[in-house]
Amino acid sequence: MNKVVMIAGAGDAVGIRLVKDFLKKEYTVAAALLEGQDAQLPEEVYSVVINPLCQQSATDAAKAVEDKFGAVDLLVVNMDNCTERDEKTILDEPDYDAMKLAYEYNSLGPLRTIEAFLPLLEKGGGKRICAVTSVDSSNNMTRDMRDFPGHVSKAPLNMAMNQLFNGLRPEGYTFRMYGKDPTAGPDKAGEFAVEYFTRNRSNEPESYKHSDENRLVLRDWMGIEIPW
Amino acid sequence: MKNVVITGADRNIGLELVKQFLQRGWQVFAGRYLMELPLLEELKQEYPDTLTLVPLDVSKAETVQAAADMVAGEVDHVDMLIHNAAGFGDHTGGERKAVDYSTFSTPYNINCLGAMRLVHSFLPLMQTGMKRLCFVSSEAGVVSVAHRTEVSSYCMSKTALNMALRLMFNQLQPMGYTFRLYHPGWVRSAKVTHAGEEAPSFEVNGELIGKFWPWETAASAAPQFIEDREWEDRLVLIDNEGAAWPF
Repeated sequence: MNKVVMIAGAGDAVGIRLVKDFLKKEYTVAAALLEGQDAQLPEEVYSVVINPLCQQSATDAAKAVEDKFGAVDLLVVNMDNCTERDEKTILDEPDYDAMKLAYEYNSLGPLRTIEAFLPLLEKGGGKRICAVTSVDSSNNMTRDMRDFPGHVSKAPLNMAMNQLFNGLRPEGYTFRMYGKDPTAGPDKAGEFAVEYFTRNRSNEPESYKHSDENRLVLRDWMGIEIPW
Repeated sequence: MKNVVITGADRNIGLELVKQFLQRGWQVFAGRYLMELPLLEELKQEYPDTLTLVPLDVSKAETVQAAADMVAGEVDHVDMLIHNAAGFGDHTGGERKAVDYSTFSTPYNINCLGAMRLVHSFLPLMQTGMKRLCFVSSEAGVVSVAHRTEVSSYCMSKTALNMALRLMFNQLQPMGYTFRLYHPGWVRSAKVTHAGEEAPSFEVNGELIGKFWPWETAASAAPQFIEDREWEDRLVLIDNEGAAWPF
């Protein structure tokens, strides 16, 4: 029986790539378009809709996927409402409402979704949680002075994922954090993601001393580790 | 005489920072949020000329701007800003599968956006003077050594604060502003005490929770905030014992 992947956020460039690459790997794919996304998903994909701002919406989606497949092996959360840079700096009047919305959408949306799908992951054999975030979420590497909504909404997700990792890794869960690189262009945005999400990183010859499974790592589309 | 604006000055670390700067002869503008607390009023009697109480709710841009306007009516510039105000929110408390994310926006709004509101509104008053921006953050916001096993709105808000500071630092440091990012240690916090009540209690269910007293960490913070460094071109989180933390 094929493994089941749930892709929450399948309507943007990364999401479309994720769906395509998981199908190629012969996964059974359930996918959520986020409210407002209108992408056409392949026929074989079981589709639902999630509003990242609403817990009940994620819960309803999880119920529908559970009714259809019973369990999920691998969950991917891919939520980003900052599709355009905000060029304001602190010298301008920051758009606090945009920052609040971005936090709700980009950080809390994935957490609401993970919350809703945990019971399905518990039933599945894969127990893997994957998050698409951005290299712009790195407190260490960010050289920018603009786009407060984009940067500031994504860094807290890194913290929350680390805390989920701390709590769930001892229960057998594994995690993948994939950092989109906004400079890489839409074609490259999802490249490597599925390869990364599905690979067993616990026994790689080049990294066995520092297994990615027992620490949480953020990697970009070239597989390069991005510091937190 | 140098001057400083301190947010969240009603009690605990904020109140003790106010005392530290008053004792050093600074003009202090103390941001009041918990108007029912008498501690700042009592301190004002001791320092009638150098302590000014300023209503300041960092969760609302208009009150921050009103505070900046009030300070601008008293002095021609501000040397130092200290963002100490903090909201703590709810931890998941072991109920990982029943997290109420609707409560998560409050600490983000105070701890992160509050710092931005403060800097944005007071920057016009900081074109001259020390140009020093100080922030009480926390190891709780450090992703690379995150050790808690439950998702925490407080930790997420401090990570967000650190990122906002990174963006501000990248722009303002080349303009001559200097930054202090401070982890106060695990500080014992007094519960809210209202006018007429006895001195605040630091005990929780009969136990002292925390490692340091607020006056101890404030005494560590003040010299860090005041003294110049030879390495102002780096944003570093430093704790009350002088140790540098990663991000």
